[in-house]
Amino acid sequence: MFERRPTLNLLLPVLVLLVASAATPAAAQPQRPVSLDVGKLDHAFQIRRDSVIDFYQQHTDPADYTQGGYFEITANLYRGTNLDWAVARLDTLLQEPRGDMFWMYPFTTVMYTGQDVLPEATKRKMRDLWRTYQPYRGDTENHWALYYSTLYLAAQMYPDEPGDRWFTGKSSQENLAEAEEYLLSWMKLTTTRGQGEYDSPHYMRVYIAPMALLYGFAEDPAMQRRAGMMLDYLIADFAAEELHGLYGGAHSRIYEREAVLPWKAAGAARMAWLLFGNTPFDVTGESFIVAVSGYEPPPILHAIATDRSEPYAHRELKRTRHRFRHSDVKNAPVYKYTYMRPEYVLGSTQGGLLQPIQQQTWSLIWNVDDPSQSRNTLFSLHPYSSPIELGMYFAELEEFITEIVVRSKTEYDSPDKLTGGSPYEQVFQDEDALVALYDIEPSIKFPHVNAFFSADLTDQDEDASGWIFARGGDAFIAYYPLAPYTWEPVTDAWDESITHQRLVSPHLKNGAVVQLAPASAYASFDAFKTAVRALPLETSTEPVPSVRFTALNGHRLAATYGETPTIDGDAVDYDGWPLFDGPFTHAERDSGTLELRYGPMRRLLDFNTLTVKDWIETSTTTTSRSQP
Amino acid sequence: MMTIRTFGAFRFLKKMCHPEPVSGSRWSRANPEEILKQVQDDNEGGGSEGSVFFSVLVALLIATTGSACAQTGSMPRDGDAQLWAGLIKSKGYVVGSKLTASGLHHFEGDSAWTHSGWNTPRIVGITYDPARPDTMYLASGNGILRTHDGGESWRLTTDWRITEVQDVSLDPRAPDHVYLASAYGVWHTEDGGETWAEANDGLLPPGNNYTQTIEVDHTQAGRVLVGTEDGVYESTDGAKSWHRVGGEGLEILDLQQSRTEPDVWIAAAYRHGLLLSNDGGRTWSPGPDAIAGNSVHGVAIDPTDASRMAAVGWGTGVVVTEDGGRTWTRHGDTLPVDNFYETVFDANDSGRLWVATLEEGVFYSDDLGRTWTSAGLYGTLVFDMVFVYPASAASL
Repeated sequence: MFERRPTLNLLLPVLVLLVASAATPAAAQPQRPVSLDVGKLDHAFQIRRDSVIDFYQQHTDPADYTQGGYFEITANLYRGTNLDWAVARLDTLLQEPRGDMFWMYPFTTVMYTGQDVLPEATKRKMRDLWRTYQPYRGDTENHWALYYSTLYLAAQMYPDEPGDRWFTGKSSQENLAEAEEYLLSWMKLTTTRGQGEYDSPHYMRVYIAPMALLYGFAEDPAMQRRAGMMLDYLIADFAAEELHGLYGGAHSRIYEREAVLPWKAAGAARMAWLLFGNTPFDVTGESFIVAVSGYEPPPILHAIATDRSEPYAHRELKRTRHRFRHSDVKNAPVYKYTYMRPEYVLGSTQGGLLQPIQQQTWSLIWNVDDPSQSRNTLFSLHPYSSPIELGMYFAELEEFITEIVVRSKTEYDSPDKLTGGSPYEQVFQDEDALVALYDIEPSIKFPHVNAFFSADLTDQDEDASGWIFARGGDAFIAYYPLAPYTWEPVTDAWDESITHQRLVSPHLKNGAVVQLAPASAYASFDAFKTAVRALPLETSTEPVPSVRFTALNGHRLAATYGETPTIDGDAVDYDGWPLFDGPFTHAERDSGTLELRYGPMRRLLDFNTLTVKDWIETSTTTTSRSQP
Repeated sequence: MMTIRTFGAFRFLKKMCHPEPVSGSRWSRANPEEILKQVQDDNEGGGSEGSVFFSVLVALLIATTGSACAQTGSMPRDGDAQLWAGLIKSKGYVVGSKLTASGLHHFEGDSAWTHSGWNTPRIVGITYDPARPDTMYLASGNGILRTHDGGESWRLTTDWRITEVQDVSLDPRAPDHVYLASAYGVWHTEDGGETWAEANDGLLPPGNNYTQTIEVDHTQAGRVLVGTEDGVYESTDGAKSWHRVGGEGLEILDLQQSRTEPDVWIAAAYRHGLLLSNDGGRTWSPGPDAIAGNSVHGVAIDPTDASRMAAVGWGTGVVVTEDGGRTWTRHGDTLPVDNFYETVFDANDSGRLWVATLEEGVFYSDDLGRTWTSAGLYGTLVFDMVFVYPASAASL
């Protein structure tokens, strides 16, 4: 049976002792309150890991040979239970492979997990599918991560075979080499210029899963190490922006129903439960793959994901998906900014067409006791729909391209949609103040602005000052629309009895100012309102939308559509935007490294040297240990 | 209990295999149930009783498979060029869902098509070696597929660097030289696909180097025309360098050269109708005003008569000329939709015109679009249709 691989965390017991005994932590890194008892963390993780495997194993009815997928089969093979059922059910599924790259990764999980258990006849059938089934490589970054990681592992399992034994017509060595070359290329691009399909609460799981498969099953130590480092990297990317399992801020791809009820996003919370246990239980096939891969997040990631004792600002550099039409560049930069505090997370990108279809340019998520049924979010957007946008990213005939997209992403061509980027938006943010500006061409399809106001908001009040006030949990919210608006009902995607509100403003020159504050900062909600009303605020919409605003933190924000925004008179430095920057993560652009930080603890992922270095940063001494 | 007379089943088969040409009315696709009912109606009051169950079973079986039609009707003849198509059974499909046999198909006669090779959602371009027609190259979603044995086996000749391939074209005078057009520009092989190299010198930079169509001049080795986001570009040195020859600012979606008069070329443009050339693609002039604002997706030149051309696209109907582009006539209003992906003239039956509609099937016309006959493939997007000539025709 499968044995857990040793993790990269051999040093951590030493580190944790050092954290506990460090007499003089670095002044800028105060001692953090999260417990880093490695033994307890490991024990808790193993319990969660077992629970995920149990979930799939226990969702098996051994008398029913018509139900059960690859994950249920794998769980039984892994546990050594219901083997007759598992083999029979697998034989059935092998008769009709479907799903292309989405078939490849659960299938590969079965292949490796069951190699010591499955009958030879079944294994021969499985082998032959790599000849007779022709999975489509797809057209997104996650498709390719799945396709090439599993092609790599398949070629590894069946080495030295000629091309006529593979659907590609290439030999095992050729398939392996091509897959490896792509994976290394993708890892390099991601660790130097950022992910293209960045920070997706839905799709993050289909990056973690292929890396977990490589980590669990790659025989080449270098590939196995790279995969483990990429897991740390991807999970750190998530951990710094998650609030109790909810992926905060801006996203490349999110489905509307997940934007409205963030906990339901298919990737984030379910992965967070396994990795950190900081959100209600749920599972996904991809967290199952992590569970059987042997990967365990290092304690520093647990700390980064769960310590929300202090507010912090966090920046990331990402890139757009590859563009091939209507653009001067193949990959445009995406500047992410996220402000996290115990009560809420507010995050944004600069706006524009950064991803096709499912972009979320900015969002607020406030903390709740039980996020599993909470519509704890607020955001605005311009509902842009155009074959120009789709033509930038999809190689289809542009007259038909919108219909093709709408067949699977029904919301794309809807005026009341709640996701998507626009070339007519510009957003910037400083801590918990945000300015969104819209300068919309009159000739386009949906010339208005939408803002989502959840039914979970309380104490909503349209103030005579022009501010709309509301409470979301312990977040005090002030939203100032730049142009007149009306309210439209929005039926909840999960529960038709729930009706939200959509602020709709049909004015082409438009925008909003958002100011948040924790409830604890004010004696009352009214006191917050009074403070916000008193803030200097100048807005105009002609000739282009413009805002001058002094936020609650005293910073003077100035934004004019089409110009670089300023904070206290200084232009936002987009050119110097780092790959990661915040109290927990740091990476320079093009560096190929990522430094994780928590209190005095440090962990450096260096993809140039393929090393992981852990150390304790103190004012007087540094204790380090590298893993070659 | 439903009854049907024996001869009714054969009449049923005949109707399925030879649907009536449609003229002056919307085409209603041959539907087994409707025809079965029609045959029942026809039979009322006459004929001898036969095996009801057997008749219905056979009729439905054959209607489903179309195999009986292969024995009659518009069958390819020995020595004929064979019609191949790259297509997807697109209705109901999204990436990751179950894919009904899609990819490369060849026409078996009437409405019967046979799938071969990969079951894949994107076979968008087909080319072959005229001297060795068993060697074909396909522009697929995974890259360029190649066969040397008429489709018995395939090799993916490209790697991860090449994606979103839109078209492929082989140089008949240097058959190891193959060119592909992709969303990221042009790539080229000089060794039959063993190695590929980028060939974008002179084209626009990444972000703007989308190429949808590529065509080798079959009279001059190394002369290639490519349709880009910014017009038609020409290379005379085997794609080592490119320069624009027409259509500045236009997104070019299809290019075709006449088989018999190689100076005649036609190009399709996104929302700009047609472009025509009578000097080998060195200069171009606009096509008919009537579709100047339409997106044209497919263009064709009759291989037996270069003055006969056709174009189809979005909202265009089927536009044809019989005088080398001086006058154009719109047909196709009796077809089920006004939107098309592809058109080609028949290589065997002079003047027969084929069109691939947007998911409403493939049709052909023997009177340049006045009447149409269904050739199946309902629910399908056909990206490319190519007649593959037998090797004996290579010298032509």
